[in-house]
Amino acid sequence: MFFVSYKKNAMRYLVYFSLITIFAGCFGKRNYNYPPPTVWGSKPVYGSDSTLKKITYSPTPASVTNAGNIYVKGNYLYQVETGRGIHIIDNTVPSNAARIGFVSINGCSQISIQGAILYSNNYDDLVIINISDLQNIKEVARTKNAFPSGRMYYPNSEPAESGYYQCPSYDSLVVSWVKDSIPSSCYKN
Amino acid sequence: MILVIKRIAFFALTGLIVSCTKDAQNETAATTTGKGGSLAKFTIAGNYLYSVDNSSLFTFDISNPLTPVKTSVEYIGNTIETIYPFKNRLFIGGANGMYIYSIDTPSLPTRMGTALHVRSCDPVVANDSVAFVTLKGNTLCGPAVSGLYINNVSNLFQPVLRKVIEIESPEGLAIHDTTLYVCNNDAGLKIYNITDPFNPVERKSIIDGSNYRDAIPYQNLLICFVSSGIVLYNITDPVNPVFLKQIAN
Repeated sequence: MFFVSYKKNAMRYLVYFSLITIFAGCFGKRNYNYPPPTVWGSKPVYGSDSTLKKITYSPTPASVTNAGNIYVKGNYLYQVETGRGIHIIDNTVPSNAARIGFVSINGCSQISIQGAILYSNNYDDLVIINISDLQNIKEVARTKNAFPSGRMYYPNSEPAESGYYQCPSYDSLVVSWVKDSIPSSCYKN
Repeated sequence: MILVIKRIAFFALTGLIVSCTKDAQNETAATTTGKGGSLAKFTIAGNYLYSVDNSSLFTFDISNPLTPVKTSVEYIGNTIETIYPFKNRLFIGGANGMYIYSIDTPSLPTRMGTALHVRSCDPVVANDSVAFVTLKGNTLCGPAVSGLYINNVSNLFQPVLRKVIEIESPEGLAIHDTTLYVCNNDAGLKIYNITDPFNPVERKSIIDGSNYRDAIPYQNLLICFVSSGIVLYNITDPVNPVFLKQIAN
């Protein structure tokens, strides 16, 4: 009788542990040893919010390296460059469609347009951009912390390669990763 | 348990409804809204911006674009992936199922029906009565059978899976009147006649070496997101796209 009840509890804890491990696996496993042993792995390089939260526009075509979602309105197509911004394509004559400019939005993954206003995500902020003048595209408003998880999960929040990495501080935004001696606090499969 | 799985499979099939015919639905008297694909996590309906992250639905009143107001945050579930508007409904795709929300009160979306399925990746498109979902059951996304899952959603509180069409590696999809476009990654682009939406008839399969990920029908154009760039087709004849241009990455 006692043995049966022990087995039931053990099963229950096994399920909970598995769930926690699975979830940990989604976002990078944390090493619960303290202090975590030092290993050779990936170390975050942070950028400043003031630089990373600035929207800029260049009216020259840029090539696509990390293709993201597409969008269309009127004579223009838009394509997200995941983590970096939005390409603008002149589609007035589709057989001659070509990229004409790039709006730089760090941490970007989404786009929607209403009227002459483009909405996108700049990490955790909703950024509002006026596109009425294609020579002079600029941010006109911003809703800070509109998407709280956008400060933790964005294209550079983990290194590209698998292995140990130093868990980034959520106070700062990561712009790149370098190899170094690090506390093995996080692991990516 | 088997019954539950059967129900889930049933709902999955209906995912892809032809909202493409309704480009005009996004137009208000004062401003027009653009059009995204089925992989989008942002969408605008009326004067509201709706956005999903990995687990929740965020609603913003954007009647004054300079001062958006967050009016609602609604937890949906785990691994939420896509959002698709049709009239006053939002169809939200996630790894565990399709979730239907009412935006009768646009500032406060409320859950109507849910079609759960075995774990997989799924964008969804819908119209008045049918929701089409593509599920990709590979090792990354989960164990479901890959394919097009067609759900009857005439009762939005109770989606009912009607049919599953197995497809190799389906991803984004789009409805355009009585035509359904299903992107099939390296296996190309499949085109179905959906005059009878619960019995799609495959009319054409474009296999041209491109990896098709999503497609947006817009006026008489089909705008395709492929891994190597953007491909544009003229779809004046919707089941016989005419190649116009490829914009390489």
